Amino acid sequence: MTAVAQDLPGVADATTDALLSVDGLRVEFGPADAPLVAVKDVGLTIAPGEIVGLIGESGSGKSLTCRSIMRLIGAPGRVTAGTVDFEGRDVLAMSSKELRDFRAHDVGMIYQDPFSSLNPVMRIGDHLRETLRANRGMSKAEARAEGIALLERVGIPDPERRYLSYPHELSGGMRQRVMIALATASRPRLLLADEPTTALDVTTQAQILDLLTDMRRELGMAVLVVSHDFGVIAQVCDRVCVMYGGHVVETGPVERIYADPQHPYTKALLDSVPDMESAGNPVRREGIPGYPPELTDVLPGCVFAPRCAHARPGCTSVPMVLQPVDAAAPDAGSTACPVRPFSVGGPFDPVAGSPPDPVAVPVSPQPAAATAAMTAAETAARAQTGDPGDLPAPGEARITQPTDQESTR
Amino acid sequence: MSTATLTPPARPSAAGRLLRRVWRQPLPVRIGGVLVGILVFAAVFAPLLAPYGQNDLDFNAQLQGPSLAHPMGTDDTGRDVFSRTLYGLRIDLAVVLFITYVPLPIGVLMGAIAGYFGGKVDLVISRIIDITIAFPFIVLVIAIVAIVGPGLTGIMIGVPIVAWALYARLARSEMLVLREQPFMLATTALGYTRRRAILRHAVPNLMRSSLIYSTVDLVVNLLLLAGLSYLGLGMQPPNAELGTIIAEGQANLLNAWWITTLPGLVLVVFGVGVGLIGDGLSDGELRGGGA
Amino acid sequence: MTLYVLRRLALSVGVLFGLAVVTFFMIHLVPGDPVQLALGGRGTPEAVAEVRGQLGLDRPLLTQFGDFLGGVVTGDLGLSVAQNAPVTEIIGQRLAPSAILIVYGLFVALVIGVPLAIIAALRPNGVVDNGIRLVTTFAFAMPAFWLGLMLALIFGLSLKWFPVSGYESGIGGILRTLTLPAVTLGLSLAVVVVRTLRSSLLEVLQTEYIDAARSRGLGEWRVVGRHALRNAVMATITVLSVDIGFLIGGTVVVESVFQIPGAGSLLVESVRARDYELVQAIALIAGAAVVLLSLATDLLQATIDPRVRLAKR
Repeated sequence: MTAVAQDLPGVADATTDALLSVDGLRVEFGPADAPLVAVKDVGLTIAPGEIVGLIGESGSGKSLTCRSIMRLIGAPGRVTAGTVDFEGRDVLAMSSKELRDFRAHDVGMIYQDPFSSLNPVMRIGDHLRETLRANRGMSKAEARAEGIALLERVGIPDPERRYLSYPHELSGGMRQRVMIALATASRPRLLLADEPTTALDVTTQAQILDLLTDMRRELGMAVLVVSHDFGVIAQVCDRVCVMYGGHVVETGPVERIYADPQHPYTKALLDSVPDMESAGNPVRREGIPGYPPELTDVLPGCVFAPRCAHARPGCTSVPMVLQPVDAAAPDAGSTACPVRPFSVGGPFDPVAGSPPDPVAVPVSPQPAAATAAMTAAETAARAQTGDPGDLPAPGEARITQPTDQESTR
Repeated sequence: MSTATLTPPARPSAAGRLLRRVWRQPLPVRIGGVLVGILVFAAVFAPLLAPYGQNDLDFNAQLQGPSLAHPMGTDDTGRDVFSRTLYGLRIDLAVVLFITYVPLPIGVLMGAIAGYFGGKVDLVISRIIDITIAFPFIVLVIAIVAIVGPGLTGIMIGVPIVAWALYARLARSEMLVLREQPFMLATTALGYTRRRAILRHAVPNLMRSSLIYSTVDLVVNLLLLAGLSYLGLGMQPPNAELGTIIAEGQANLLNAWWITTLPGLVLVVFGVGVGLIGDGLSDGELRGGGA
Repeated sequence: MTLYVLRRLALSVGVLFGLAVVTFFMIHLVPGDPVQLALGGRGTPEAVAEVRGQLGLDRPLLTQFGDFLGGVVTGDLGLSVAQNAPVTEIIGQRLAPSAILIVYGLFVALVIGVPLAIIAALRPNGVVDNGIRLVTTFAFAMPAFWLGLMLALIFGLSLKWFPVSGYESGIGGILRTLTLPAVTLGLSLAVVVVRTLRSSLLEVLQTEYIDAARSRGLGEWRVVGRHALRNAVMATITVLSVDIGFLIGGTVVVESVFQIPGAGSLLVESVRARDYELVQAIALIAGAAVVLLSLATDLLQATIDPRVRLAKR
């Protein structure tokens, strides 16, 4: 774990007037002497009014990163390193009074599951009134009027009646609209949206995303959208950060990332998403072989190397550092892959840490066939060690299940 | 662990293994184990440890405070409270083991049957459980004692008649979940008899949480037994039982506090010991499930 | 809501009927003749037969049961052989102290239990939480009758703050005579309140809507007091409704310790006097009280938590 926290070149220009900048963030669980590191070294910036996407598989640390921004990591989790800077104020160093102020006025957050993010025994109006009275010092009557106006603004039909409804009387999409109304009630400059559409059906998804972009335009707020779905990110975001294994592996404008991913993981992630062309003609997409790293795994080099089709021997020892994709175009973003461009088997070019293993230095370009062969070889190797490559969850026992199953409860 | 001490293990290595296993538990469980272990030991060997007989009268030593000769003092007829407490604990623990672990398997079986078959079977059993639980536990037991007649027999009949329902309710709700588990579905697919599916596959799984729950029940039943004896509905004089010792001391509460206080403390220590073990076990269960 | 109430009522009526069946047949089907037992040595065959005829015990069992049920509905629970008075009258005179004791005990349990549970849940596994856990472990292990005697010894006999036995009506009298019994009863229940409320608070504090409330900048007191407590109280009410039986049963012991002329001590006296009609009636009333009170708590829950009305039972 010698990774050096660095400002992200490529986004660095934005940091001068950034609304939010997270740097060197590390989140741990478990005992202090043998911690489970869920977020290893994450940096990201958000400019005022910008919509940034944070994408990754479950367990990549994206939600924890999002929650760290509001200091909502509950015990036993804890932030052990890094800074979260909001307009020059360090969120991680705030007193509880400052923190409450910050949460009340500067940021809002909406959650993946609108079914559980509203208090089941309180009416919609109770939520709104409470928030408006506490955060905007309104009287009861003002809060009621404003609450109904807020419901109307997020597109809830018959807001006066809904004001008196209980959460369970609303559909998932309606509840998410209520959450958005609540989170934006005090006109925050940053909205954190943690998987805002995952629990919703596809049509509702699109409506909620539209609402988010509308609200952003109307309130001029920045939005951080956390998702595992590139489709969602592509629909609303300006810029995207790709996370894997507790690291940001690539960042850049959505168009560039989509057209020309500069990290093998990003490429693999995009390849696993069915696109519009294949919609009517379902093709079985390739998953990424292997499993995401366990929290207990300590990988000195690139966290993706064990699953990477383009890995060189040096990849497992070189620390992960984000480097500009194109030194001439800082806005194009940055990548943590030292093999650039990996797609044509470019030179191994680490900037920091130990020099690469001599054996690893430039190999001839790998054609796609070789990649496939490598994957096949890996699968074969797994098969030999009795390690089925297509087990659903990494945590499952890899031993043959015993026959007397009543003991395995 | 109490059963292991009560019935000496066949091989010494088994006792060693048990000790080692106990020693690996968290501190509260170990403390609880030591407390319960001492009391169980004292109860089992009461005839050897007691300095006097439980009904030895000594009219030269009435209402004496704790001393070396009488560690817990003497009562108004000069009986040694320490000796009576040991004998009382002995009979109490034996009865408590009976009234806790007789209804447990019955309840688990009834719950398993109700949960496994569902439908009418479940309806009937559930209603019986509801009605049994609707009575205040002690009131129903007292009513049964009233019919059978005061004494330990009444309690040993009365408590199991009521207590099985608690285990049945617990086991039934677990069975409803268990029924849908792949290995239970597999018993049907493999053509096992229902009897085999319930007895060999479901019941062992259901026993686990009932056994953990039974640690709470041990304490509750001990307090119930002592309470009924205190009310004069349990152990009949002159033989010693913790509740009756305390009741007999009530007349001299102010001038001979030791007769009521010290045997009560023994009950408290046993309850705390079992409580510590039970807490540790259920915590461990939670940790095991969460990880 | 109406449907829920109706369904819940039907269930309660069913259980009440079950209680009547159990108490009736428990007394009438056991070997031995209650009249013979009640009359003891004085029971010449003629006297037994006369009393049996007087009580209608010589008629077919089902007829007797029909009469018994009819009596239950009209509030006539029969005649006490030993005291030669209507059972309802005897019990009626002794219900008030028991009812007051139960309410007072519940009050003590909540006053002690709720604050401790909140304090423990706010810093789980902290020093305070562990201290509270240890205290509750001790309190749980104390027999109620012993605890009552200890309180009587300390606050009654030594400090002379309270009398150690008897009962007086009126506010002052109740406070004087029922405080020690209520504390005795309430302490054991407080243990249950602390444990369940603590664990359900902890569970609720993990939920997303608590997180969401915090993310809106609401203060911790507001989050715990308004958002969490209201949900956690549900679990506590459920437990309390289960423990109503425990509370009612507790009065039997506590009333005997402090010699309070309530229904609980009446039960013990009746068992000693082999007054089966009284035992039967008290058991039935105690069971009915539990059923009705848990019906009341269920309806209370339905009022607090709108989801309960929809939940299938």
